Amino acid sequence: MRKAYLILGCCFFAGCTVKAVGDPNRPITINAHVIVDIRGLEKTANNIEDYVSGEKSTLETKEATK
Amino acid sequence: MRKFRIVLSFLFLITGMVLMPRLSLAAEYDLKELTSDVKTALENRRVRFEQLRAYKEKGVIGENNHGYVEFLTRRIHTEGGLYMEASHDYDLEDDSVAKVKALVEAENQDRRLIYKTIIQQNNLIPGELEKVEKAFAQVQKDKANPGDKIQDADGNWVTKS
Repeated sequence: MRKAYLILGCCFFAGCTVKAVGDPNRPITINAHVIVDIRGLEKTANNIEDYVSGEKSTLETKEATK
Repeated sequence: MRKFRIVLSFLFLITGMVLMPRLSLAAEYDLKELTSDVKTALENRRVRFEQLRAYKEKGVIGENNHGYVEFLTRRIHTEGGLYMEASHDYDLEDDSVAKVKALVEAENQDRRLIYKTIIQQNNLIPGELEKVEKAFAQVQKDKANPGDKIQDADGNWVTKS
């Protein structure tokens, strides 16, 4: 019982939301609230704006690098 | 003591499992799929870019602090101490103010679509739109030419030096 509280406490501390537990026919779903990294967004924005301004002729996307 | 070590190890494991994806998310946001809507928005923006640049040089439009372009009105002080907004004194040549406003609106619609697509394709929550907008605003501010009008964090319009 203490371990269960510990796990839930860790999830709470780490910012997770436990959506459903306990039913063997339904998988456990955990929604983690991802903290947005502004630096990552600015890199993406730079990439897009360079393409829009014509500085880059192609847009680097995950799709293009596949 | 042994029990404490197990609990501590478990705690590190859980914390690591949660934090590692977050750390690895840096620079991972991207347009993962170029849908037809996004392609159209990007191409529209490329076509529109030089027009917007020309209006920015005239001081007619500026980049606001939310990642969008804004038509700037001038405030004229009247005799009664009131301010009135005027946009008719811009040197817009043959272009009408309505035409510039339509251009600004179209640009902002395309930008909004791109921002929302980044949110959707990177599984971010809709509430993060503001952060995406701010990131783009910062980039627009950095890329602005000297003399361009940009809105600072406090909402004041300044001329980039």
